[in-house]
Amino acid sequence: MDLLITAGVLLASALAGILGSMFGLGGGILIIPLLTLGLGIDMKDAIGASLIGVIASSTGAAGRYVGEGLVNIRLGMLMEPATTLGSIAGAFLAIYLNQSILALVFAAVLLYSAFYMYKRPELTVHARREDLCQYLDSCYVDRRTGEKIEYKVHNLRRGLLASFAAGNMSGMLGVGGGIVKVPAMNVWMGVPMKVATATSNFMIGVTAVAGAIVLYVNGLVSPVLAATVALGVFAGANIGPRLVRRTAGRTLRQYFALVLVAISALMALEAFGIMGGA
Amino acid sequence: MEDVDRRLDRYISLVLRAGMLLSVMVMVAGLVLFILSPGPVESIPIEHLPGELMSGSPVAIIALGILLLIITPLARVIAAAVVFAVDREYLFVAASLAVLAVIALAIAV
Repeated sequence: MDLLITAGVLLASALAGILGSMFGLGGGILIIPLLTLGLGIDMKDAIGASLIGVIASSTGAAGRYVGEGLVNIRLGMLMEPATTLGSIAGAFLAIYLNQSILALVFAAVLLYSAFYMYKRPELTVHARREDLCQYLDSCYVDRRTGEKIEYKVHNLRRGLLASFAAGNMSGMLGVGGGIVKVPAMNVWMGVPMKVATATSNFMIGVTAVAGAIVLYVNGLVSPVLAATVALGVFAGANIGPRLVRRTAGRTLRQYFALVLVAISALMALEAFGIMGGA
Repeated sequence: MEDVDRRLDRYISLVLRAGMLLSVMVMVAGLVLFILSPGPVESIPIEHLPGELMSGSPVAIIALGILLLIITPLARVIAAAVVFAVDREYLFVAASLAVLAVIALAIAV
C-alpha cells in the first residue's frame, strides 16, 4: 500500500468508526464501499478487513458506553444468541432465496422503520422504582442533561424474534444486524435510543467474531490492510460516543431515521443491480 | 443493589478496554516494524504464526494484534459469564454459554 492509499484507508475507517459507533451499526456497510469503490481495494480483502473493523468499532465504542452505564448488558446477552443463530440460518437460506427481492423487502422494512422513528415520539415506559436499575429494566444517567432515566424492557419475545430476523438478514444480505436491532429495541421494547444504539454496539462485536475467525484461519484477512482499518476505526469509535454524549436522544433518533433511509436506498439500488457490494 | 450492576459494567468495560489497548499496541508495533523493513504482505497461515513470531516477522506481529482484537469480544462474554455465575444469575450464565456455543457452531459449519 502506498502512503496516499494508507491515509485514505485510515480516514475512511475513522469515518466509518464514528458513524458506526454513534448509531450502533458496526460500520461494515460504510467500510466495504469506501474501500472498494473509493480506494479500489479488492472486494475479497475488503470483506476481511471490514469484519475486523466491525469488531474494532464494537470493542472501542462499547468499552466507552459500558463505562458510561449506557449498555444494557443483560438485554444484550439475551439477544446475542438469537442474532448469531439467525446469521447462521441466513447464510444457508441465502442459497435458496432471490437476493434482489429480499433486498427490496428489507429496504421497505427499513423505510417504514425510518418513517416511524422520525414521526412518532419515543414511547419509553419509565420504571417506577429506583431499585429496578439492576435487572433487565435498567437506568442510565444522560450525560448531556445530567438526568437519571429509568426504563422498562417490554416485548422481550418479540425483541428476540427481531434479533433472530436481524441476524438472518445479515447472513443473507451481508448487512449488519444493528440496523434492525436498534429500531426493534427502541420502538418495540421501549429501550431509550441512546441505550439501544449503545447496546447494539456492544452486541455487534460478538456477532462478527464467528465470521472473523473463519476468515482469519483460512488466511482471508490481509494483516496490513485489516490492522490499518482497525486503527482508523478505533480512532473513530472513540470519537462517536463523545458526540453521542452531547446529542439529545430525540435528535439521535431522527439522525438514525435518516441513516435508515440512506441504507434502504443503497439496498434498493443494489437490488436493481445499479451498484454492487454495499 | 445498584452496586452489583456497576460491578458488571466495570469488569466488562475493563476487558473491552484492555483488549483494545493490547491489540492496538501490538498492531502499531508490527506496523512500525513493517514500515521500517517492508516485506511480503500476504496473510500467514495460523499454524505458522508462532514460528513467524519467533523470527520477528512484522506481518506476524500485526496478525497477532488482529488475533487479540478478535479474541476480545469472546473474552468479554466469558467475563460476563463469570460475574453472572458469582451473582447466581443463572439465566444469564446460560445466555453467555449459549453465545459461545453458537459461535463454535458457526465456526464448525
